[in-house]
Amino acid sequence: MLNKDRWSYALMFSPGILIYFAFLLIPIILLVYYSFYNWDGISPSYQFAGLSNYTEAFQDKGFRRALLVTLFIAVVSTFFVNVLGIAFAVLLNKKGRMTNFYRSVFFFPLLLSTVSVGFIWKSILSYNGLLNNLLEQLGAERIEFFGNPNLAVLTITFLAIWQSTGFIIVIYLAGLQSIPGSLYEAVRIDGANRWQQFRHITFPMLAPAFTMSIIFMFTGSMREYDRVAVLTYGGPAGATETIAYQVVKVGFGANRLSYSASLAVYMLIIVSLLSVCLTVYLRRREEKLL
Amino acid sequence: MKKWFALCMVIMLAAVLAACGGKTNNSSTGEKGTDPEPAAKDVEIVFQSWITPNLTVEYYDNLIKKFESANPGIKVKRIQPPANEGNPDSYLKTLLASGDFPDVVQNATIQMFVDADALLEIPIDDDIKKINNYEAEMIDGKLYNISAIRQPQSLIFYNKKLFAEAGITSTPKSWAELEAAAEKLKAKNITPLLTAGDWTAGFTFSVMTSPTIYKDNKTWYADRFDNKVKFTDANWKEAAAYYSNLIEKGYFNKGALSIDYTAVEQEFLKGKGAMYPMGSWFSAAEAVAQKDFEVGVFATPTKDGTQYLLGGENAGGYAVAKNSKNPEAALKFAKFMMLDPEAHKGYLQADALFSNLKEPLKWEMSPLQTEIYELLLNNPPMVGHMNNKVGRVPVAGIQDQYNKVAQNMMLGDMDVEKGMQSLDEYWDKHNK
Repeated sequence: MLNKDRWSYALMFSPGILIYFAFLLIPIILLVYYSFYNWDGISPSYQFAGLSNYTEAFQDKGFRRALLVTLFIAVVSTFFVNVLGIAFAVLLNKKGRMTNFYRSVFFFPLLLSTVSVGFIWKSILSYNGLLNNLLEQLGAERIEFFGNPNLAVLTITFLAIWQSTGFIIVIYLAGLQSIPGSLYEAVRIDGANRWQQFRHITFPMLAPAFTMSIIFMFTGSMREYDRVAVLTYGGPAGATETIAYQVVKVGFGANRLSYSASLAVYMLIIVSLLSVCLTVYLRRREEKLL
Repeated sequence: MKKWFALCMVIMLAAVLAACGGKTNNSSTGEKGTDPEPAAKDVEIVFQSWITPNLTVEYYDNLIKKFESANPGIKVKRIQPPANEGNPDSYLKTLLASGDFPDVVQNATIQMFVDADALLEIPIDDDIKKINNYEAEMIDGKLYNISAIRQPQSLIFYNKKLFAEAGITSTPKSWAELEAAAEKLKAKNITPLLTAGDWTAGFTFSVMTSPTIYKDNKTWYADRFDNKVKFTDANWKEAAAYYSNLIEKGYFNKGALSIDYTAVEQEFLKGKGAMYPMGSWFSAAEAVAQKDFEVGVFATPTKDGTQYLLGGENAGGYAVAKNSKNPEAALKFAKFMMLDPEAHKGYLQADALFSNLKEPLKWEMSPLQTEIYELLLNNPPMVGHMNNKVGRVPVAGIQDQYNKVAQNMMLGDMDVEKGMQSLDEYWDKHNK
């Protein structure tokens, strides 16, 4: 009987372990391995290059700029998505005739693929797009959403916020529904107004959802690729290149697979470090609040 | 429990490693003889097709059907990249790594796969000798692709109605004439030149400057590898300064960096600009567009007014895998797709290309395509530009740096000297 159980356990966890090995662990090991060579991704032979790819990446101005752009998109979008997520979740948590409709509306962007969303927004925001045509008819100047380097980064960030808010709302809604109603009743009896209820009950009780949303959003935004590839191709003049975009461009466009592997390893280290720090900090915060 | 866990982990790891090992290519491991030889009737070749709006699945399937009925015993299995990324290179790299490189590939960057020792040398026989200037695509004296097409790229399409409105009676041939025409158009409040912010920016910069450089040195990229020339040489800097001057004088469309290739093509077809630098493939879109004006074409002007078109001369086309199990059948199919008269004509027509056979085949051309054909008649063999061969194929990814230089010029963020220096720096960094 005991042996049977062991076989059952083994069979049950084998698909998960197989997937983990095949699609995560082995690719990461290979990534690190190739980053120490000078492989172009196609030649039958390649030589050991030591740390040269890492030192080159460290001095690469383009990589440093891509890192800054990626961090900007990740930090700003994580902040706004969470602010909006909590606000809309609180509003959508109330019972009303249209509540389910509004929930669907906010969740809808998440159901669309990032690439499709990119094409839709491109037709709206490009220089001869819907929004600029409207602005011109109203007598205003057309805006170069993708042609101005700073505005292009902001546009990508705005679209990341627009598309991700729905998902974060769902996390917060689940968090809100787990808060016992008796807590609100108690503070209402003590005379707390709506803001005080939010500050002293809702926000602290949302701490686990807050941790999860911040980590999801931050790690996801650090991998920003699709929107850049569809909307700006990294332009104008490389202004919207993110690390993920550079990894693909350098690896497959410039045929420097080993060098792009070193960029990916840097990204892995940075994202891992920041995620661990954030998680530790937010978990401690949860412990204090709950 | 620990033992069971360890055993399972070992099995998992072995299974994953076995899967990652992929297929080994029999011919390269010397096991070819151990496979049972397929009967002649059962030969199957795998063909990587290149699907575009012009070259459709139906286009290939019809040709494959014709080939199979003319060659009983050879079956062709068509595959295609999952997405159009400009070329099938990334897809082919993956197939090469997994040991599934197709028998026949199309539109690949030949030099890259020759460097990877993946392509078969094509024997120079009577079929190949039918191709005009077939030597143009040879690498180290060997031919690896079958192509018999000319694709001029350094063209400027113009709106005849807007030219007439601005009082321009002849098309510009020199830089000075182009500038004069642009000034006349601007004076009439007409946008003289159209470009866009994606690859189009680098392409426009390249086609408007390179002809002046490459007409005097048709092996410029080969010389760059040998450090005999640089992007910071006086001739390149002069050409880039001329282009920068066109930008500074406001001859290009406002908001160019906020639109892409598809959008700028529509802008031109809507009559929102007088001149549109683009390759001959634009003529396929022009032929079916609804518009109230005629489109003409001229070669992008050079400094002294001498016509020199740049473009593809027997580039791309079909290549055969070195490790193909059926090289003869694969070669036969590759030749059929490019050289069979009916297939050749169909290819030219579908993709608005021009025949480069010694006895060129003509197809039913639009008036604009006939104009391009006539320009080609007066042109010596073309060389490429940007990421294409000029004596040699340049370092990989250089087109991205052309884009950056052109886009920076449009942003007003980079002076000419620094822009050209960045091209040299990119070259040196990636020439490894």
